[in-house]
Amino acid sequence: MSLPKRPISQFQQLDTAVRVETPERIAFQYQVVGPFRRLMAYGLDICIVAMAFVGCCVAVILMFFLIAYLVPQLTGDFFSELVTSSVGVIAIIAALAFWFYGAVCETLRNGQTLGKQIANIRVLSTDGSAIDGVQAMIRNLFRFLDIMPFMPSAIFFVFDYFEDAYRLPLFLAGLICMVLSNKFQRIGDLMAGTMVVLVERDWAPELVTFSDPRVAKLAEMIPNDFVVSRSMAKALAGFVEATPRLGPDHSSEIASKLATPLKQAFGFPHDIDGTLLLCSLYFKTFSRFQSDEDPLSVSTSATLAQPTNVPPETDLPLAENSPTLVVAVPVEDINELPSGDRE
Amino acid sequence: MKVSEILDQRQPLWSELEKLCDRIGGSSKGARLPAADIARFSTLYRSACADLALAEAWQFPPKTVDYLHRLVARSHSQMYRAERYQWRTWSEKVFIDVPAAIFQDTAVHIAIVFFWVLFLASAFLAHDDQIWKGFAEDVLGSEAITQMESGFESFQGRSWGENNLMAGFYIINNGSIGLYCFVMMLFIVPGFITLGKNAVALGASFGVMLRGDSALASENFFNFVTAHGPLELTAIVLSAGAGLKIGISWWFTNGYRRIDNLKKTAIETIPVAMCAFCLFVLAAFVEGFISPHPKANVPWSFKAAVAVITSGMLMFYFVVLGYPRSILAGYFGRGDQ
Repeated sequence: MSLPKRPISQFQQLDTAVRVETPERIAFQYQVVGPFRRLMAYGLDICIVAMAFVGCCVAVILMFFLIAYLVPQLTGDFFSELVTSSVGVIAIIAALAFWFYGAVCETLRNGQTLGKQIANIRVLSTDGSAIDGVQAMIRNLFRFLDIMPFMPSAIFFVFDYFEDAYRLPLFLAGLICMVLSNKFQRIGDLMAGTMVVLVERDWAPELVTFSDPRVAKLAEMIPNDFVVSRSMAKALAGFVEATPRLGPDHSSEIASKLATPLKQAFGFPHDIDGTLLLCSLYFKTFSRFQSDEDPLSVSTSATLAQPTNVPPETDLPLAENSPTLVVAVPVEDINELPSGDRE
Repeated sequence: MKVSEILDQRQPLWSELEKLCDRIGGSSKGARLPAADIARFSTLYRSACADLALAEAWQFPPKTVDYLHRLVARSHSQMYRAERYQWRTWSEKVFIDVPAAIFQDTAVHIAIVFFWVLFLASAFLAHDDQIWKGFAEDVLGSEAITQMESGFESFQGRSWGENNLMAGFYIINNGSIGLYCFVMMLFIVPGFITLGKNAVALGASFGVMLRGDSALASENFFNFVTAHGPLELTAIVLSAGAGLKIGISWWFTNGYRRIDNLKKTAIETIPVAMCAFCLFVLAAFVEGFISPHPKANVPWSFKAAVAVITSGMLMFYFVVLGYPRSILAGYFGRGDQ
């Protein structure tokens, strides 16, 4: 027993998930990262490089003082030459950092610069595998193209003083390319076959629990042969988890879209509250997760319902236990059950 | 069995995996983990993969499935880490693959011809000053020419501190020009404009100095540019040629998808671009520490010798090392024949 399915392929373009298949034959999803988080990471990297640069300058100045202290007979001319040399050396270090910081960091730190690590993002190949040194080099060299065009310095009088030396990059080339690409790839990413994904830790998964006893009672009345499809399970969980944030009227209105055909399918009276029905279905689906052929080989005394997509038996270790994390969602706003249905 | 019970059983394992991911982190620390931890990490990762398959198949709540997706993704990127630079492979690339690729690369040939034709034509027009009256002034500007001449007239070498400073400046300046030529060639026309502008400006400068309006400036100019000229001009042409190869791959796909051909060519081209970068650095050091010395300190013949040696090394690298081995085998025969 199931409801007719509706195609959802038309909505898939809206998702930012990229599916990757591992050598273990498991498919999982990465969330690709948009331009703003990446810009933040780039800004952090620039700050880190700038701080290192300032640190370098301070170290050089301290070195001069140390030399002057240790060798007092040195002349002013020598110091003047030393200072001039140091400017050249620092300029080389700054240029090398600007050109190669990203490539070296991403290769040695598994796809992350320090800024990316703080922003919880990582560079990967588009097939989900880790990048190599050549890919890191390509995507960072072509950043020079991504940051174009430069803002004409004449727009800001303050920059006129420096003429063309300090033009502001607008990042438009990279931004337009990212907007047009379905994996938010800039020109460098397209050239290197890379993408930037989120590596954030998620919160520990929790189940919604219900304090209202009517939920469990109504769940028992739902036919055992009713099969909840994956898309419906997703919709159910999304709805139940959002219920505390919705007002009762709004909640009922949203619930009615699914509850009305369900009531017809189950042969329930029309005056049963839609929110209550969906909470009961959630309870039956997730909290009374049962099977005639339990894939986890754990005995249960509850009544069992066979899902459609039963996986092969697994031999996962099940010996360990820990306290359960649950979120209690009160369902106090829903209507009373019809008296005929109550025990 | 209830989902909540399954979560109770699995969460300690998932937390342990999260902690191991934190320990491995973004750096190379993973390689220094004890063997037992690495083995445990592998076990937990595979267990999480199985949990994800189970969660998807058995309609676990979407939040649990999302959590497992992220956990598996995070662990996967720690399990299969970025490849380091393989220096052994790179030495083979530098001394065998790259010279061979450059020698046979049509894009590099086109860039060489384009650059040198414009350079020589511009030098000729600036030197002759009859066919195109005031060509050098049109290209460089009268003020810049006067500034260049007066600068070289009064040029008496630099102190060691200034040499260090200028070496840094040359690396940044020349490296930026090379990088600019390389990336602009992706769109071919802007790349040719950039390369052409550099060729015409450099050619016009040489032409003006050859004209000899100021004998002293002319003498100092050639005394300055002789040593580093071959390295610097080769580096510019090479970086443009590498970029042009990527630009051409955009149009002529050899049966590949356009984007795939672009990626493939970019990977092939990076060693050539790095070769150009090394030449820029080498040129900057010669320009910073050998070129500026006046004749009294370092004779012109020494600088000419540097130019000859560097040119010889370049010829050896590009022609001798780059000459196709199949043709060489045809000339000298093979051991089994």
